[in-house]
Amino acid sequence: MRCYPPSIRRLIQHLQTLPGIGEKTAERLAMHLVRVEKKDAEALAFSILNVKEKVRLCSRCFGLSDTDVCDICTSPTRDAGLLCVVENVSEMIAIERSGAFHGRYHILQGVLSPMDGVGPDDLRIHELLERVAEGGIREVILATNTHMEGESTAMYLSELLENRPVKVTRIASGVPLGGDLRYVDQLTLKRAMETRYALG
Amino acid sequence: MPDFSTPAIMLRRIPYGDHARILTLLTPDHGKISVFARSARKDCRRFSGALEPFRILHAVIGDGRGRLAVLKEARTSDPLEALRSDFRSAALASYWCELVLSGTEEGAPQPDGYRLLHGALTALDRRHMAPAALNILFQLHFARLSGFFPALTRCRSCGVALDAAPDAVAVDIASGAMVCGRCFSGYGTHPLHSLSKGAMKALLWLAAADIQTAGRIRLNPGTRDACTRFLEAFIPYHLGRRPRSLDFLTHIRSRKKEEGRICHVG
Ligand SMILES: [Zn+2]
Ligand SMILES: [Zn+2]
Repeated sequence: MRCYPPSIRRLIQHLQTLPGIGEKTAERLAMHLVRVEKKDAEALAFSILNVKEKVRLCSRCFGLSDTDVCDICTSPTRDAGLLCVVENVSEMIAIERSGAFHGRYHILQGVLSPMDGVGPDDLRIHELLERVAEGGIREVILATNTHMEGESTAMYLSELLENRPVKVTRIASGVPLGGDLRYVDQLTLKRAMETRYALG
Repeated sequence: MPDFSTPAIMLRRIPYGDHARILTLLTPDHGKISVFARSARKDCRRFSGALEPFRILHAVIGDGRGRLAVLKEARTSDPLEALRSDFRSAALASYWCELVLSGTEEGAPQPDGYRLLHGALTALDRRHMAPAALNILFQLHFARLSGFFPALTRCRSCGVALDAAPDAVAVDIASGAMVCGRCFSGYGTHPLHSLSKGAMKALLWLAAADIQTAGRIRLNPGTRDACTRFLEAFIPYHLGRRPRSLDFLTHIRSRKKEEGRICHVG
């Protein structure tokens, strides 16, 4: 590090704070930035600043958005009667990538975790109930993760939604495609066996 | 320290970096122990779903060469399936694990503590007894193992026996001692928690019972709630910290009351 001038050293230090970037990679990225054209470096710097200025949480679904209400929430081609509840933005993106869902989302911003002091008031649960109360939603799909906190959050939500005029469903769980049965845990296998289906 | 394999209960998981976790386990012979689980958050093959909160495991632990011990293998010996998807039971189990975490010293053998937590978690999962009564039972046994069991048989001031004491009685939270109604005034500045004679008798009875026998008694709701409130004040006082899970437990109990449901959480 010493051999670099102070400006490059500072850049390396900043790059190193990024997740998954060690000193070696930071050095390589910094040297790359030294070599690129000025306009490309400016575009990168600008897009970082732009993200910090523009991105906020959508006021309806709490996903990431550049505007008050995000594209998914305003899109006329998405089914407004289907609402998929997920823990975080990363799960929403995973479902979007799958192309399997054409409704709208509600991002809880976490899961219930009593031991970590995360209770219902720390999540966007109140807002979920409000959206359901507004009407127009036929089905709420609880797509929290299948770990313990995700399961108990799903159960908590299903109780809250019990007396509302919506169908409440939980995503299925089972053996992953391309997976090896030997490495699947016993609970997943048990559930996969219970929810087996007829072929043909 | 050579590798050893042990039964263990997952008490706490703390993320470490992008893929690892630091786990705190309760084991019978090695007591409370912290281990490093490399790639615990992505390596499904090695730990195949075993590293969940309050999971009962079989673990192989290796020497950390002067650092934290390393979790080499873990497999589920009891997944507590019913418990993990029920948020009320999960909140109780979290509370118990938090008590054990803060009330147990690292490294000293804990055969009785392990047996207590193991027994309580499996009884909660299989519904061997009502969760609220099980919660009282767990806390009483935990207090006894931790050395601050309440002394409820006689008044601390005048020595009158519980049976002969006037109806109004209380417990001095700091000493855990019973104080009779005649001695309330002039008792000093210690915080007193009022508790009926019936509730004290129920506590004494439950303290002497194990899960099998305790499962048969029916506490009336007033007594049960009074015992719960007392223990959830008494135990955190002696541990020196309020477990975070208590907030969630309090929340779901108050929600129940609002909705006027009959079933009860611990
Ligand atoms: Zn939105
Ligand atoms: Zn007295």
